[in-house]
Amino acid sequence: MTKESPGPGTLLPVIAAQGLPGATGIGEMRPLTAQGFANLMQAVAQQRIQGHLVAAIEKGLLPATDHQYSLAHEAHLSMLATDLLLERLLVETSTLLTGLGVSHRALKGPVVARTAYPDPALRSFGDVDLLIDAASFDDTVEALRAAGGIPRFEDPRPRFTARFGKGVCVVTPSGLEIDLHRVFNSGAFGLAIDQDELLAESDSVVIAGTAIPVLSAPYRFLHACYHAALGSPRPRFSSLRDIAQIASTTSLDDRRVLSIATGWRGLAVLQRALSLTRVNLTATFDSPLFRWAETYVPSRFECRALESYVSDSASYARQAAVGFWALSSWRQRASYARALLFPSSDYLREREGSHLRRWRRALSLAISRNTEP
Amino acid sequence: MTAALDFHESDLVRLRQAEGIFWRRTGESLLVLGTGESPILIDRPGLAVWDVFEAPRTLAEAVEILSRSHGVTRTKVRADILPFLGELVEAGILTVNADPSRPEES
Repeated sequence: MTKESPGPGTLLPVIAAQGLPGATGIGEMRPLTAQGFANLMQAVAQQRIQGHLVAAIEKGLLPATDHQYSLAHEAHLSMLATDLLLERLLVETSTLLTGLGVSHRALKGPVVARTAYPDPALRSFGDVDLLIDAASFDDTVEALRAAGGIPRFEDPRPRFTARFGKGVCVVTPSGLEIDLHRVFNSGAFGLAIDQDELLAESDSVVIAGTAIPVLSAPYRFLHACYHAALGSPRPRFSSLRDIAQIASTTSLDDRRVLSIATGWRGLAVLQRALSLTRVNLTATFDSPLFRWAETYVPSRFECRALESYVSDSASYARQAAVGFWALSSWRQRASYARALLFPSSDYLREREGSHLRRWRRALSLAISRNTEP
Repeated sequence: MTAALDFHESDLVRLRQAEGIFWRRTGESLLVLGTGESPILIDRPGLAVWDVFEAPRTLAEAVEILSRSHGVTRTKVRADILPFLGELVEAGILTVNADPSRPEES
């Protein structure tokens, strides 16, 4: 009887972990069949770890035929071509914002690729992400609109995103996307983050000769954790690898990371991100932060808030409902609720169709959870 | 194409890798993006040419270096690299700089 070849579910944790401390190969196996390799390539593309696939083959961690290696290399080159176009867009946009006096920080892919990975070619990305000073948020959207960009969504009320929202996606004339963030996430965990704190300190990375402002190391790490833990119920392997990569290559002040997360009522987010990383990547995780994550017990509020992001019933509306309780003052809560319950007609046309449908949905959410978490 | 034509007409003109370009290297391939619409892929033979222009060089100097290192006649090297260099200049990856301080060689 022939031994069955491992599928993507077995191979992805090994590929995504290549190069990390304690990472191992897949063990005894022959190169996959053509169909098996095609399935793997598809899964690798979904997880945005094409660079790690090429590296795993080159290091002998994953057996592959010459033809399969060529296919992996071609796919990687294609991703890298997009990375370069996005990096150019990042430099152009950052330069524009600097000229306008808008305080901003580049986030995620292009930044992690250059601050945490030994070679930026290992970390591909799909868009440009920028944290924008809330005071200049609407002006930034207008500046990008003037440059030919089209915001994907309108605000439910004027200045809603600048006050409460996660951010806005602007599509450029060439079809590339710029995500403008006010904070890391929507909902309770996003609302609990103080933007002034994020912008209070900065580092920079040099891309094509231009210094781009970025978050300082503890905030970069926390953003990677928030993105992995709250971005979707099943984060991409690239997001988990970012956490492992930053943790293993950056001198993080663990106490400071925990202190910031405590201030944001986000220790459960940090714990979830670290646990997902340890469980899903085939490597060794024995740093103090990973050990802390094994023992931390989340509060009732954190459990409730996490559910709104990662449970089967997770939705933007549920995050918004739980987010209500994350705001620090009743004045803010009233303003937040007014914006969500009486949105502008442009916003309704794009997202929910009508006031009636929106009220029905708000009512059903209120009925499903009528106590403060 | 003016710039592309200039550099093979005169030894007063030097080429070099442009500043402010975007690049990634993987295996034996280099992807480079300058001012063009999309990145240009430079693979193994092209990389030798690309590396020559890390410092500013005239076409004659580059031909001489590549001819010696590859054991190929200057005429053959020149014919091989001219279209490639034209493409790189057009894409804003190589810059063309006039160097009036250097007398033209006869």
